[in-house]
Amino acid sequence: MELSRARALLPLLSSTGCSVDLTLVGQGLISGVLFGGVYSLMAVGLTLIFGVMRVVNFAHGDMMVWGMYLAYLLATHAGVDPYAGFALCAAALFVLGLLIQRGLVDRIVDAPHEMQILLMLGVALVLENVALMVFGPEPTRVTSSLATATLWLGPVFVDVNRLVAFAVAVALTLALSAFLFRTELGRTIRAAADNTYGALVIGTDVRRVYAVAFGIGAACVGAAGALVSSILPFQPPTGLSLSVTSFNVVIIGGMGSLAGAFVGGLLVSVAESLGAVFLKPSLKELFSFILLIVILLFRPAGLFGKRAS
Amino acid sequence: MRWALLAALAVLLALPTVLSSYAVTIFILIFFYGFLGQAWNVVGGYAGQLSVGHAAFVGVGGYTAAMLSIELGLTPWLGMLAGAALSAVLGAVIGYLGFRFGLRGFYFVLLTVAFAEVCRIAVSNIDALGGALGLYITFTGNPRQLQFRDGRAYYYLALALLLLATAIAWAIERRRFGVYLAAIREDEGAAEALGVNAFAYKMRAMVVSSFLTGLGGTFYAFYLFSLQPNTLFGIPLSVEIVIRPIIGGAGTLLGPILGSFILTPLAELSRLYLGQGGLYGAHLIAYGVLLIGVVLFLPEGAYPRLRRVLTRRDQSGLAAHTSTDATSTDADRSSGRAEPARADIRPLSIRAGLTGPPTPATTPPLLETRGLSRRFGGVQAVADLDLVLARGEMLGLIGPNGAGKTTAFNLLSGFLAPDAGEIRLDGRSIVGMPPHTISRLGLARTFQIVRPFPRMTVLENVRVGALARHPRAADALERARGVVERVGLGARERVPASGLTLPERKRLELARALATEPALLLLDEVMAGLNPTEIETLIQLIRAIHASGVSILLIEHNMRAVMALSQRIVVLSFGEKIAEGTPAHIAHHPKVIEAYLGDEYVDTAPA
Repeated sequence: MELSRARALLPLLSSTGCSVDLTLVGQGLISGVLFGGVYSLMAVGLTLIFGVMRVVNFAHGDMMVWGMYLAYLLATHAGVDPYAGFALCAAALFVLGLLIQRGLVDRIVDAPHEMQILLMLGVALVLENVALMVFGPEPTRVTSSLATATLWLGPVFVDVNRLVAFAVAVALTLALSAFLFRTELGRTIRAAADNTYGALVIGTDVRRVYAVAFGIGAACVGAAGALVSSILPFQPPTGLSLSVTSFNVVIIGGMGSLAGAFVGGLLVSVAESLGAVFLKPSLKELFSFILLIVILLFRPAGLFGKRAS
Repeated sequence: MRWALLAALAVLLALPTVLSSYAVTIFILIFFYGFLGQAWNVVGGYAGQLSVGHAAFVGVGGYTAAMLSIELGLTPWLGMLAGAALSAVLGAVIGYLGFRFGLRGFYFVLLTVAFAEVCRIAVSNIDALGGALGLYITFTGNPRQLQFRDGRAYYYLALALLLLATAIAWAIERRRFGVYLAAIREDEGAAEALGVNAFAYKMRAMVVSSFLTGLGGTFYAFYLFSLQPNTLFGIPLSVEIVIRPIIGGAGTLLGPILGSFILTPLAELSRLYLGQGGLYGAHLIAYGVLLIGVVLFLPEGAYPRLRRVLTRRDQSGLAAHTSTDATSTDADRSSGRAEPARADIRPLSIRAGLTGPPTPATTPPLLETRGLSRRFGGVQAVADLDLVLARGEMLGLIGPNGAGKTTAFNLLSGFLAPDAGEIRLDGRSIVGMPPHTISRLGLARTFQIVRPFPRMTVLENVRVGALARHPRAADALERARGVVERVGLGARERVPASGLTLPERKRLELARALATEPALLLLDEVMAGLNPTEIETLIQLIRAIHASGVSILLIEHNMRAVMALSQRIVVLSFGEKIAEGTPAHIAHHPKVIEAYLGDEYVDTAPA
């Protein structure tokens, strides 16, 4: 069935892109891996929220767009480069996440999944359309001093801003895992994720853990937004496709698995950027939705074997 | 209520004669979005399968009718049906994939969103369908082309669509179809155990819903004269479709209509006044806020709350009216639900051929397993189990915690597949059959942790079971009432299951299973949590059920009950059968005492 659909789409493939060009493939691989760092960071945030609260953050992509607009405001009004401003964006999104958790999500943690989904859809609608109201519908891109710099590695080139974004995203992901595995609060968060009831029994303030986890999840995506704000042109509806990408990554990696989200981010990014080599740009999005359908149907146990509930 | 609805309908029919053309437009949108919400309600509300991709069906329906009209000159009145049929095919594909692959909640939402987006992007890239710019329909004003110079024609057309969808939803709600959908929404596993083929019913709901939504696509396209992929397939339209029934009350007949009457004028006014000022997303922000508010403060939606307020007022005026139940359906009322329950205890008719006097040696036993095994990771939960239960027998299954008793039940009732082994019910292999088929063959079960349908009343719960043998809702209700009486819940029949005490829930669990008129009843720890008096009455009840011809296999930790009830007992320990025999034999079996009963029990066991 998938095959026949793929065949039906064949005429849509660009006529020139169908011949395999190794340099293009290499270029796709490199930019895929580099962009994957950001996907990983974004997905780590989503998987942390899900792992701890079993709530799917449908507003994840919209939070990321807010990270991008904050980076844009910082760059245009205060002259802060997004590669320095990402920390402020992360901090702002941490607060936003904390507020959303305390004000809304906290009340429906034990509600049926449908209710949680509807609530998060409501949050996503508000975030996206407030952005639309404030910033308007035109695509925006932040200019960075690094935007035009490139390095040549033989026949392929490397965008310096992608390289920096990758390095920062990976560093943040590593810092987060150090926090989760090496600090008291981090261990408490993992304990609450493993067994909420058990954590309650031994006296954990689970509400606080939830709030912090949601805040950190939002901060991840805030930083990720700032890091790509000079690479990816964005507008308020971009949030949806970013959410879909996050879902792709997190389901591939296994819902709730941090390592899975990290590796999954790299995989999905490489797959998308190789897809972009062969497909018309307008079909790249199609590719990512078809990928989502296939992933949903053949939902693996996750890269690291933790079966989604 | 009925008169009020008829009066409202008469007003709506007369209204266009006095309304301004702008007001007519608003009403057209109210009806149309109410119609889409009602169509969504069939699968999203009644069946509880949250689809956020219903725009796909609008798009497929609209594009099909438009292409047939533009390319082949086919009148949209027929193209409408073709479009709806194609939408139903898409609905069946999405439903099949979603339900077969077990995608629930979040995963099902994603699947529906992804399909709608795939359609949108594909259509935007197909030049023959107009690409991203879309299709335009030339205005002719010819009614054969579904075009009218007078806006009031669209008013009546939209109203007709709304009434059509509502009539279909009403018919579903009254029938077994609707009761089963509600049971699936509440607890799919428990519904399966009562003989409900959840997959088939969800598929039917999806097909009906997508067909109706597809009809709406044609109306939309020919009302706007243009089709753009982003408008017809986009997520904003899916949100428009979902939000009205959610706010009005999903899974209720009038919820989607009420939701549309609340939301549509609101959205139009904010679009008119705020959109012009460059404030693009204002009405979507309002939607988001409303969604959040409804989830937090009114999770059932506006209509159920309104109905409760109205019912309360009714009752204060009618002192004789005793019903306090707000969740009863019209079907219940029309079949005499409000009458006081009669105390007739009728014997349950048992499926012929599956019951009778205890088995002579030559015919197959009612239930037989050979080498039944199931492993979970490193734990062999059930190992090589041979079990025989003769017709008319009451067999006890005991063993320490973790012995594999409940796993054995799950294997027998089809909730788990065995790794190896054979299960025969009345000589027929049932390995690999789904739970609902096994239930229909005459094997009913209860769950150790009771799983009532919380928002249904006691009677409605039991009716789900009775529908397995009595497809007409009214007949099933009569049967259910008899069973409810029989288990002693007659006085509580109109109480929602969520309001029952634990002993009552245990009885309800038993009543529901009994209502499927089983030949063999599997009881999983029905005594747990009951006090000695309650246990005594339940023992009497189970004896009476057994005496009426139902064979029984029971898991029980309460030794007094097991010893009093069982004709024979099988003992499991670490998944293996370690002993089998009469209660007296088991009570003195050294292996059993060692594994399970403990030393002090030897003295008190019956000789």
